[in-house]
Amino acid sequence: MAQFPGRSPTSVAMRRIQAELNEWLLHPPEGCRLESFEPLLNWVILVQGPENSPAPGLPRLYDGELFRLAINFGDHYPLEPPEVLFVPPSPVHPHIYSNGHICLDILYDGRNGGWSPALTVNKIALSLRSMLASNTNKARPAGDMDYCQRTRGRSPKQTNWEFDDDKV
Amino acid sequence: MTFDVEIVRWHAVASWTWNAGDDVCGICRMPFDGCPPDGKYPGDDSPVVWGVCGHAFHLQCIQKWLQSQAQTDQRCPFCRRAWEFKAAAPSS
Amino acid sequence: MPPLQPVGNRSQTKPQGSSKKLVIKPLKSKPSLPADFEIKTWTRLQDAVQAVHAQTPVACSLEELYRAVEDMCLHKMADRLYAGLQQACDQHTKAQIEKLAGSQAADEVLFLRQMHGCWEEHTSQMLTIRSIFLYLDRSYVLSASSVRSLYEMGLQQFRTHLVHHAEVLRKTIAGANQLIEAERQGESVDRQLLAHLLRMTSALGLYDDSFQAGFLEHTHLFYRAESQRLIQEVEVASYLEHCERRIQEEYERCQHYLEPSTRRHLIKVVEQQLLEAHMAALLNRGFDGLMAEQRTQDLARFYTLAARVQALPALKLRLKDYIRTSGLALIMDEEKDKDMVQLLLEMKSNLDDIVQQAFQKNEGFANALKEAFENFINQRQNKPAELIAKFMDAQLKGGSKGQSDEQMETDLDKALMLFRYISGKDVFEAFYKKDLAKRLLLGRSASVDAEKNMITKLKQECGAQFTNKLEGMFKDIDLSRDIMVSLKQSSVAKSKFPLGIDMNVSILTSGFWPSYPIQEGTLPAELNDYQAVFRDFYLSKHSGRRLVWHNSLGTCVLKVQFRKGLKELQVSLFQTIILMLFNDTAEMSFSDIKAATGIEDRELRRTLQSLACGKLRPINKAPKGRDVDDNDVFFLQCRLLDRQYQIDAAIVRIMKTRKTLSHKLLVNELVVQLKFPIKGADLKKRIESLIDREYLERDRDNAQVYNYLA
Repeated sequence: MAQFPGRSPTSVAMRRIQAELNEWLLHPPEGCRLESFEPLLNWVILVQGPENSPAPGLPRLYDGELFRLAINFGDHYPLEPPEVLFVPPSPVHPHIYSNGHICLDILYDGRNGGWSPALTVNKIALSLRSMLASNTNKARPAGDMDYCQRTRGRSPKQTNWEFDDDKV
Repeated sequence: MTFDVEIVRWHAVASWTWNAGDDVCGICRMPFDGCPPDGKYPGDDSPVVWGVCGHAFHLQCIQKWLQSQAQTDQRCPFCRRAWEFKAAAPSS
Repeated sequence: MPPLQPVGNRSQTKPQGSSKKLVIKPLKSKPSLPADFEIKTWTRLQDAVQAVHAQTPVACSLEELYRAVEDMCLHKMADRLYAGLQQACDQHTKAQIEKLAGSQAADEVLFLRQMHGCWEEHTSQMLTIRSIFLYLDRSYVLSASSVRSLYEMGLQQFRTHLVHHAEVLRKTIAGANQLIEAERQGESVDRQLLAHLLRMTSALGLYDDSFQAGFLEHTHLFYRAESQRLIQEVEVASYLEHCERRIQEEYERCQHYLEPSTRRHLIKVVEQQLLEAHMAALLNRGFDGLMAEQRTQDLARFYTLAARVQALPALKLRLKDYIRTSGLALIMDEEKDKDMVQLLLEMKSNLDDIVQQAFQKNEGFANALKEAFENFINQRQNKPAELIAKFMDAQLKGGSKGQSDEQMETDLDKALMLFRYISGKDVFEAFYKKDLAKRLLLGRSASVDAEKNMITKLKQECGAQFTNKLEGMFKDIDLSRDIMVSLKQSSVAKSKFPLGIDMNVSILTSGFWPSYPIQEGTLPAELNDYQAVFRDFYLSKHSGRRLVWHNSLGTCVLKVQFRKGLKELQVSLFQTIILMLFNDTAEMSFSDIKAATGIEDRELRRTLQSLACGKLRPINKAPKGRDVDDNDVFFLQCRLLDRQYQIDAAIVRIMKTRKTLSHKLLVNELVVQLKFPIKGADLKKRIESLIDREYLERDRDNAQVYNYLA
């Protein structure tokens, strides 16, 4: 197991993050690379756009593109989800705003949220990649500009999300 | 026929582990046979519990998770089925 | 100048507060002096001074002379009186010094005595003269700022003439230096004389410039030459002893005849020449040897002397180097591994003694010792940590016979101190844990208190992270005992443990103990039953768990039949599995045993070797020899000389390969195989017995033919 001397995770969150880091380094998810985990509470992941099209005959929407995903852990992780967003320029996708906010239930807790402590950064990265892979409509969500203006300087975790679109 | 070799005493050694399939707790991601993050001793002092759904967690971990959720909405972190502690844990 | 007062009134005083007032009125006319008053009075005084100088009796009484001086002073003749006296003294002093300059003294001591005599006379005469001229000294000298007191005037004159006659001064100073050098060479000299002369130069203000500077230069040259010679000639310990003695002598010199102000300069010169100039040579040539031979006294001297010249840092460095080098030699020598810890402890204790006794418990030196240990002990990876853990293991198992608990504890504390120097604590921890596990599982601990004590100390060293697990191991042993008690009291045990084997199980919590590889082995049926009963019982009390058996850690006490009778043996579970096979079978080949026990090949060979080639040999092997071959055959030792048994075994062996054989052919083969004569009747009896025990049967068609029954 990879160990990082000089880092001594004290809190529950730190130890869990360290464990996830070790797992990631042993088995990184496909198409993803950890660009930075310094400090340990802030990771940056490079996500390759999926090479495949969602179905035979459909265009490969993100092939060759590269995105940066920021994961910011809080003190209550994993009881609360980490803050997850794309570093602009974010992928063009009906559930991803141009400021990087992502409309995906597993990223949020609360009333509509689907967060579970059994999720890991590894699984989040895989989910996001498959969200891109299955997309057929390379467009921003409706009201993108409006949303971005409204939420300027705010965490996506502060948005009241409605997850009604099950198709994508 | 009398036996030329007879056993008088036997000192056997066995070790026990939690009979929980996945070797790490899904919440803290520490091995079941180790401690959860704020535990001191592994083993008896860091008990593992099962839900009726069959998923296992450190008792400390699942309790924290359930406490952080609404009373009416207590679910298994793995399968999201309603959480209920299983009375008798599986042994082998 | 004090105002002149009438002579008559000089001593008249009236008590204050008297009612009658005395009124002093100026005299109408000055009282007149006789014209020859001055010349007569001075002549009288001059005669007296000459008599003092000539050491002849003085004509008048001192009282008279005193009055005469007083009178002259009162009549304003003090300045002329002083001048006259000054001249008289000067002439005399000049003559005295000139006499010295012409001295024909045969040696310097004689000259020095003359010098001293001259000075003694001068001072005593000046004191007499001063008492005569006391009034002058008190009134005139005090009021005239440019005028010296009479005694000082004498000194001044003495100094002037001495300096003028440079040869006299030179001879005096050279003589003093020669005497001192003679004393340094071991002669005894007149210290009193030296003391007087040096006090003289000091009184004359000549000490610093005329004596001290040259004396220090002399000293410098003397000790430079001496040290350069000695450092070549004598060994370091004697050299240091010599330095110590020299410094002591110079201190005594200061006490006896040198001025106090000289001491600091003198000692410094001596230290520089004797010590500072040769410190590197002393350290390089002598230190290691003194250390190796534990010469505490010499080392203490080294320390004190080095401290005098600020060489303690160099000494400390050298100490560190010595420890590092000798420690490294010890630690790297694999042949010494067996005694490494003991040797390190001895080394440490010797060094501690030296720091305590020779180096004045200097904290910096104690630190250097610690750093040197930390340095060398970590130059070899893992082994020191392992051996320290082993040493502790041996202690906790009871150490050497007859060792007291206190001794055990001190030895453990010492080993712990070595452990502190080890940087790879995790290696130690792993070994300690492994050894502790063995002690606990095999009941080898000499004292539970000592074990717990050690855990407390390790907690202080390594933190709770490590000792939590060790404490957990102890807890497991206690819990296991409780479980066994409750199992043995349960109805389950009464109904399901029929054979009377006393079973005990240690149940380990996986996270606490070292991880043990699982080793397979097929248990004898009865042990299998016991194990199943225990498992069911345990899991009924503790749900959600999984039990894994560690056969390689199991042990048994057996009763085994030997040729010379029944013996109790303490054996491993694997040894038990093998031995139990022989209850059912007369003899077995290696491959039979392997198939029957399922023990891994290498482990099986090792175990068979331990049973057949050890000190006690419950089983024998054919052919004999240490190596275990696939075709070797094993049998219980107690059956070796049992001919009846050997015949049975041979018959079964032959029939097993032949399956069917006539009586005659069987007898022929037996004769070949058995190495002892047999009667036909005995053979027949054995065959009948084997038929009864259903190893063989008579062929249905031919009673003279036997078939083998599998």
